This record gives sequence, structure tokens and C-alpha cells, in this order.
Amino acid sequence: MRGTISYVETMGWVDARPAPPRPFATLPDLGYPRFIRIEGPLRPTPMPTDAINYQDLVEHHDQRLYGYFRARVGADQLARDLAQDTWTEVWPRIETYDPEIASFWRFTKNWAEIVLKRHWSGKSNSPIEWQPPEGDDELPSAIENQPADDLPLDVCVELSRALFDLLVISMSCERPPNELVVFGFSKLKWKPLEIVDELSDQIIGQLARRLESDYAALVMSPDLAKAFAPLHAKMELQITEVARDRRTRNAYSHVPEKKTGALPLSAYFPPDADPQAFVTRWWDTVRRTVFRNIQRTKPGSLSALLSSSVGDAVEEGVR
Amino acid sequence: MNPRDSHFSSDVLLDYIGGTLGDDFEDQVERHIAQCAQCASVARDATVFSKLIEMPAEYHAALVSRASIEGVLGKALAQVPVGLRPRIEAWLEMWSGKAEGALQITTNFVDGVASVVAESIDAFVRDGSEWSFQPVAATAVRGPGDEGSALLTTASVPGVGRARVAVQGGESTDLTVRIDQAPEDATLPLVALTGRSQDGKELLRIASIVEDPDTGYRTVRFADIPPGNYIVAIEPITDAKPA
Ligand SMILES: [Zn+2]
Repeated sequence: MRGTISYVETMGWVDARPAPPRPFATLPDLGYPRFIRIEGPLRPTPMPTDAINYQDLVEHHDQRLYGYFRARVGADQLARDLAQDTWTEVWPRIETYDPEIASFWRFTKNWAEIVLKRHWSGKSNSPIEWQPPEGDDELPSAIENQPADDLPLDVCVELSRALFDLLVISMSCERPPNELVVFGFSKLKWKPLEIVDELSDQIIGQLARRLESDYAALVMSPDLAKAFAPLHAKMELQITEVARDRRTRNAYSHVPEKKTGALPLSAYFPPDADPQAFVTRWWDTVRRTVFRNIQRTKPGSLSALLSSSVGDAVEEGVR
Repeated sequence: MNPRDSHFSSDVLLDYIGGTLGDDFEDQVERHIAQCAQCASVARDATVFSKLIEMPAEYHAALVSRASIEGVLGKALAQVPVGLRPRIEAWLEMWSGKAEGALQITTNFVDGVASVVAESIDAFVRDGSEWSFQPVAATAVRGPGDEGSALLTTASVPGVGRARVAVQGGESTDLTVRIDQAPEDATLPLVALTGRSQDGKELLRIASIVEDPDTGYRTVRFADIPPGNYIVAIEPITDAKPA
């Protein structure tokens, strides 16, 4: 339902406070003034309060709001509490809602995001700062995280373990080796353009070895060789052997029938295609495949982290 | 979509968390998640996954280096009495901060119920050490200040029990490390206890195992540890040999 908005002349008294909607029957009386005084120049104000049925709006969006939080925090009760907290923020400001500016959901979601952020920053572990990538050409791995030194030790232990598991799952996933190599280099903060410019002509078997040694120079782990072994093994096979499904085989039908590891990265870009776009697409395909595999083999394993202190660290970074 | 009918794919839920679905689709997904525990769980996985998958190797490296005994010892150097420093420096140099045995211990106390979980952290243990501790979990009802018998004891795995770690208490705990077998001439090892209490306080203590002249027990005891998540690391005993 869309309400009508008009401009109210200065110094009017408007009944701006409808009765709280039913979901908040249990909320304490927040002591809202029944009337608010409108002063100053012309300003937008909802005209007659019954033109917008706020109670219906809130009730209509309550379930969606719960779904929003349920997807983002580790426990259902917490999601309910945060949804309630959001309405507590929205309600006193509900008369500022202007349907001509944004949908009621947008209006509510703004507050939901604030409530979520406040929830995580109120935790004792609030270390990861989320910064958007600087330009379109950057893969999301360019996002900076807060220094590990600021994290509690147990969070570091759990988080580094989770990242190692993820590396193992990524490098052993069923995608062709060119995609895995690109994915690996993006983890080393190579941008798509740099990958295209500097790595295209290189043989991917060698790129895979370079990837492992660059990784090993950074991440001290005796098990790193195990993580990269499946990638090296793939280099001995032909594309038709590593592309498991028909769609992938079709997508790589232009690749010569040779050992995949003996071909340059450029051999995998479709003719006449924008290689940079493909680098980004390969990264995304690996990401999706890894997530699908986790859902198939260990569903819920990551959300378990969400309930732990690691989850606090991770969640803080989620917008 | 009715939750009984079908679920959203993991791709859709990943896109949902990434914020790339249109508003109408997002509406459908959120209303479905509100009713469907299965899709809620996948979406929660996607929330964590989207963040982890974007963490660069450099950050992974920083975590690994901090999440090591080496990191703990480096921090300890600045805090311990001067007399202990050469020992810690030697531990760092000779063993790259690896331990003879290392345990993760999580203690909790809620409504009079104390619980402890202990498990070995093999990644922290030096090559050739046999001190891998059995994973154990225990729960007991405890009054305030009630120490009672040990809540939990875990011994190093190869049967004989060459070292053991016991946790006593409830509201706060005492942690005792006892070496049952070590070569006669071996220096009794340092033990580092580090971690974070539930209310966010960092804790770091280092002390040496000492032999009680009366009982002959070789122990170190850390008292009054609030509920939290801790790591216990025992300095390598270089010439340790099976008895
Ligand atoms: Zn579902």
C-alpha cells in the first residue's frame, strides 16, 4: 500500500504516532510523545497517519526481516532478537518514511544493517574490517582484513585452520587446472589484468608450481604440498579428462588435445573473448563449485563457525 | 516458494548473501529462509564462506604465524621476568617454537555446570614428539569455589602416561601439568598457558615444571583461570627417551 505525502506548513501539530503494531505488544513503553511539534520551513511529513497503515507494513515485512537476520547470524533466537531490535529502531522514525523515496523494505533494511553492525561491533571480537574493492577490475580477494595481531589467539587458530581446509577443498575441486591456477593467483592478490598481461603466455604446469612456491613463501605449513598435489596431478591429463561435465567440455572445446599442464594459460581463453572477463568468471566458477562441494559433503560446517568466536570475527566483516 | 516444495540452490543463496539478486527475488529468498531451516543453514554457510573465500593468502599467512606457539613465545618474551628469557629464546631458536606437547583447552561455567574440553594441537608439536594427548570432554555440577576432584584429566597417548594435564574447579579453574616420565638429567620443561577468557581478557602465563621434594611429583599449576579458550604448550625435552 502506498501512502500519500504532502508538505505541511510550519508550526503545525500532527498526530505522528500511530499505535505500535501488534508484534511489539510486549515491548516496554518507550515513552514516545503522542504529538510531535513541526517547526521550521516546509519539510516532508506523512500527511494523515491513516493514509499509510504502518502496522500492516511492519507485519508484512516482519517475516522477511527475520529471514534477513536468520541468514546472517548463528542462532534463530538471536535472529528474532535482532529483528525486534530493528523494529525498535524503525518505529520511532516511522513517520519519516517516504514511499516516494524508497520502498518500506529499503527503509527497514537500512536499520537492519545498522543493527547487525552494532551487534557485531559490540562483541569483544570485532576485528575484521570490510572494505569494498577499489575498482571494478579488482577481485574480491583484494579486500583487506584487520591485522591478525589484533585477533584473539583462539580465533587465529580456528580461522587459519578453516582457511587451510578451504585451500585444500579449492585445489582439489573438479574444475579445469587453468581455473584453479587463476583462483590461486587471485589469492596471492593478482588482479585479473595482471594475470592476463603477465601470466597468459606461461605454461600452466609451471604456473602451478610457481603458485605453490609463492604460497609456501607466505604460509608456513608442512601440509601445503598436500593441498597442491591434486592440482599438479591434473596437469598430466587432457582437458577432455579433467572437464567432467558436457558444459565444461563444450566451453573448452577450443583447447588442444595435449596435457593441460603443457599449454600456456592463453590456450584456455576462448578465441575472440575478453580474457580479463574470463579470469573473473573462472574465479567465480571455482568459488561456486567449492561452495557447492561444501554443501554436498559438509553442510552446516561453516555456519558452525558462525556460532563460535571465529564467527564473531568473520561476521563483523559482513556488510 | 513453499518450504515443503523445494529449496533454493547453493548458488542462489551465495548470490543472495553477495547481494546480487534483484529485490523481488531477494524478498522471496528472505521469506523462504524465515520458514526453512535448511536454506537458513546454507545461507549461514554462505555468509561465512563469502568472507573466508575472499581472504588473501597474505592474511592466511599472518593468521598462521600468530596462531603458533612461536607467536605466543614472542609475545611472552616482552612480559616474563628477565631470568626466563634465555629459556624462551632457546625454545624459539631450537624448535621454531614447536612444543613437546600442546593442548587446546576450553572451559565453561553456566548455571553451576562446569564443562571442559581438551584436545591435542598436533600442528604445534615438534617432529618426533610422542606427547599427543587424548581428546577428552567432561561436565560436572559445581558450586562456587567448589574445586572437588579433577573435572578432567588427559594423558599423553602411548599408554604409560608420561605427561598429564588436569583441570580442576568450576567457576574458575586450576590447571595442573604433571610430567610422569622424563629422563633423569633432562631439564624440567617450561609450560606456557595462553588464550582468552570469555569476557575477552587475554591471558599469558609461563612457568617451569618443578619437582616437589616431599612427593617427588613434577608439576606446574596455573590457578584461577576464568572460563575461556586456552592453549597449553610444553617446552621440548630434547633428550626425552621412552623409559
Ligand atoms: Zn529451503
